[in-house]
Amino acid sequence: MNFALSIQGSPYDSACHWSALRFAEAVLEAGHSIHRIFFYHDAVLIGSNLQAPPQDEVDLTRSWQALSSQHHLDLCLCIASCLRRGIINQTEATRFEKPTENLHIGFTITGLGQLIEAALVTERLVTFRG
Amino acid sequence: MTDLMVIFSQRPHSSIHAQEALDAALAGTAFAEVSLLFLGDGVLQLLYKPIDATPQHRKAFQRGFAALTDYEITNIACCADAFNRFRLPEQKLIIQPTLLTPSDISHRITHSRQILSF
Repeated sequence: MNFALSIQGSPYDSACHWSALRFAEAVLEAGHSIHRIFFYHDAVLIGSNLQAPPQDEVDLTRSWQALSSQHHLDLCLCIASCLRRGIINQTEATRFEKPTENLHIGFTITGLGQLIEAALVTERLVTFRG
Repeated sequence: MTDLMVIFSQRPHSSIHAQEALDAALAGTAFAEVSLLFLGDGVLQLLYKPIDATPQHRKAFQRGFAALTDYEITNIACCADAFNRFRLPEQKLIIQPTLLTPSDISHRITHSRQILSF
């Protein structure tokens, strides 16, 4: 079965990223595929390369990146959610005249259309809220 | 064309979800035939509010409802129970929805190809 995931909760204020990560691992282990993982609302904070969680806690950004590298997953961040929360790539930093970009490698800033397209081409869209 | 239902269940200015539901509905028309369903507190989004009555910290996004027909979104439905509970005056509605019973709602949800709920 082909899945899409929509993750909406804040990375470290809720369990939704952890739940989604475990779900994604289980889906892939069971031989299914994941078309796209879309981060929406506060979930886009996962894409900041400025986060430094304590060393004895799970680094969720790196966990997503590792899973993505291993399985060639598409990690998409909603652009409107990103711009509101200060997650920007070089293009947006230039456009909005910001001093730096802070998008973590492995993540892509995209439009909401990517969530809708994923919802329509997959058999299941699973949403994780905070 | 594939169908996509967008569910509005939040009050207009209590969170950003109501605004983002409208954004998703409009963006969705590029991919699918979009229908809207207003449930629970979300029916309050149907009520017209003058711009000066919009909370100052919130964008008056509800003006975007006027563009629904331009995006060919005409299938707009609402929970009849919620509609009646809030006693929404029909002359003050931004858009006129079709009122649905719980079994109608269940049927529509069951037969939708995909649903985005806000």
